[in-house]
Amino acid sequence: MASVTVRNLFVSYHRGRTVAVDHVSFSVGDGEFCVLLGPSGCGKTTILQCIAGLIRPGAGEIVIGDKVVTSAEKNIFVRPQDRNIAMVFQEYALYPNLTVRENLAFPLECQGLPRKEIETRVQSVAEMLGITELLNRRPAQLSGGQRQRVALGRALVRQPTVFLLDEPLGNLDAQLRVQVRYELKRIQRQLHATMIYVTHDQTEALTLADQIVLLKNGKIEQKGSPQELYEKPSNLFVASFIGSPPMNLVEGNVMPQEGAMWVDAGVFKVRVEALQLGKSLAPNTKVMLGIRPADISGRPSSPTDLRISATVDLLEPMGDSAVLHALSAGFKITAKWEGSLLRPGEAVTLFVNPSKIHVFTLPDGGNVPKALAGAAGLEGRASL
Amino acid sequence: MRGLLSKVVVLALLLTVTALYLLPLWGALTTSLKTDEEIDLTSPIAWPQRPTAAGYINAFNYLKRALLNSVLITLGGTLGSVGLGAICGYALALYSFRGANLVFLLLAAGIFLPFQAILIPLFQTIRTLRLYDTIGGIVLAHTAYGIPMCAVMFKTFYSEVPKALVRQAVTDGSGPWRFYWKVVFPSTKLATVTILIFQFTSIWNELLFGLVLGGPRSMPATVALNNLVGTLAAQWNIQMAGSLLLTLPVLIVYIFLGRYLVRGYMAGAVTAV
Ligand SMILES: Nc1ncnc2c1ncn2[C@@H]1O[C@H](COP(=O)(O)OP(=O)(O)OP(=O)(O)O)[C@@H](O)[C@H]1O
Ligand SMILES: [Mg+2]
Repeated sequence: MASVTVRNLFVSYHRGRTVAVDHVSFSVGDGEFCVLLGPSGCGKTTILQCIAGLIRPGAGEIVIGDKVVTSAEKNIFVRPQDRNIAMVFQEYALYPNLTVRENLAFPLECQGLPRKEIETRVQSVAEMLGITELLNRRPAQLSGGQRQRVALGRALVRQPTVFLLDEPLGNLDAQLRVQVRYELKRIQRQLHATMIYVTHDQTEALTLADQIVLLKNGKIEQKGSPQELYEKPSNLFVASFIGSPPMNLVEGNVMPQEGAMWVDAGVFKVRVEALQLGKSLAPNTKVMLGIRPADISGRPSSPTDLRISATVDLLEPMGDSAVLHALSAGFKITAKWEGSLLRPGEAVTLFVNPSKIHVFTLPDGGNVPKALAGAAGLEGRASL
Repeated sequence: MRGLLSKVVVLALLLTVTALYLLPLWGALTTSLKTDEEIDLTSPIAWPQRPTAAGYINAFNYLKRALLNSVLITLGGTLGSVGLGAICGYALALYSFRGANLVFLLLAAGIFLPFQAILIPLFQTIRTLRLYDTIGGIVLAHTAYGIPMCAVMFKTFYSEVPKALVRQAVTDGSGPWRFYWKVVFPSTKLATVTILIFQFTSIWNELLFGLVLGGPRSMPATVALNNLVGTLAAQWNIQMAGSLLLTLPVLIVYIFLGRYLVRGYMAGAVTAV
């Protein structure tokens, strides 16, 4: 296994009119599970294909292990077949005329391994993925989930330095997706494999990744651990992209009142000190306040909690918990609900710890970081 | 009632046209089985009173050498043009390289190049190569002339191979040859059969190259048959027998491989066989 470093990668199409990847840099450590996440068309596949050597970037450098495999500046380009990477495509791309066994053996035959060795490796991977009974079938005779496993197996037999996976679970139904996702993570741990995994599904990213690289329009919006992206989104886009159900967002205005600074969001008013920010907000600044559904509750966690009166719109049961949709002064609030059953139209009081509220400046959407933990937290007083 | 009537009329019309179309063939068949005397005395479409294979034996003896030439020329020309055309089509369909569009344009232009336009330069080239009146010379001409058509047809078929499969093969560490023989060729057999039949038929039936590039040692059966008309003006039975002998291989190919041809046209090129 090996680490992967991408430096300043740039790819454009149509003679520079479409920029697919815009100066992207990130590193994936040895044995790390890195997820490239972002909406459709943000350049995820393009980055993966650059690492695989299927695309030569206009600028930038890619290092696998300690070897520079692509460098536009130094005019270095190692052919894909010489990179020892394994790639799983979204379409699976199984060879239609070959049996599962032959599909699995194909990359090993390309390496010129002896027949005995190929036999053993194919067998052990087939056992690991539970597809031994399928070895003599052709791809057309397999279900979607089985094809997916074969595609994965064809990557695994190679024992490559890096795995590149392009939305490998995209074609599976929800249940199978969860199951294969778990298996994939288990195999990755077991082999201590370096994996770069592309998806536009934030749940997949949060559950699988050691590191998430979140992209939009070919640029990195934020990179870091799932927890970092969830708890400290660096801007509005990250905040709204990560988390399900998505973060509640409400616009507010900073104004002085009663000798203190307040943010007036219409639905509620909160003292700026209570937000425990790392810097002060100037009067008349426009801000966006973000509250995670999980940070809203039916019971106060401390006496300083914000208090929001609302009416129940709908309670979506999700088995052990529920998602509450409520309305307050025309504003839609989504909350994770663990309390009693609620009926539509019922009045409900919601509590939010102001220190959990994310603050973003407008119009740029940049995050206003929180003060470091341990700094004095002043009481927040809710008013409505 | 009226529906039935119109059906009868249409059917009658179709039968008439078919009969007209098949009449020469019928005439050829009957004449080929007659003796010289009977040909002079009876109508060409009357069935012979005493059918005889003499015409066929004579024709075969006369055409023996030329038929062998034809077989060699057709085999060589078909394999040459289909083999090289397949490689061209494969590269054009699945790999991008500098100048690919230009190559494709030139190949497409090659299809529309009329025989007559290249006849004299071709003759001189072949003579300079000291290949005049050799099987090799005619095979070379057919191979070169057939490549554009084959390449464009193969490109069309191979374009149906998913690009993801090509990228997969590349990352699996396979070169273009291995990918071709292990995956592309086996899953596009119908395409190959279709194009083989097409080339076989056109080369077997071809006259002009044989006429210009062939001599007494290398002339194909089409040329020999053409000469027969001049030398044995009166012996219709031999001429007709020769014509029918010549159509036989094409007929056999169509009877046995025709269903592949239809399937090749109807179905997509890539099949999970
Ligand atoms: N061959 C190409 N020619 C022109 N533009 C392209 C090409 N491939 C990709 N693009 C453009 O580059 C951008 C990034 O494409 P890419 O396929 O990397 O997106 P993606 O993040 O993988 O999207 P998805 O989630 O839909 O697969 C898109 O705007 C796309 O239209
Ligand atoms: Mg993609």
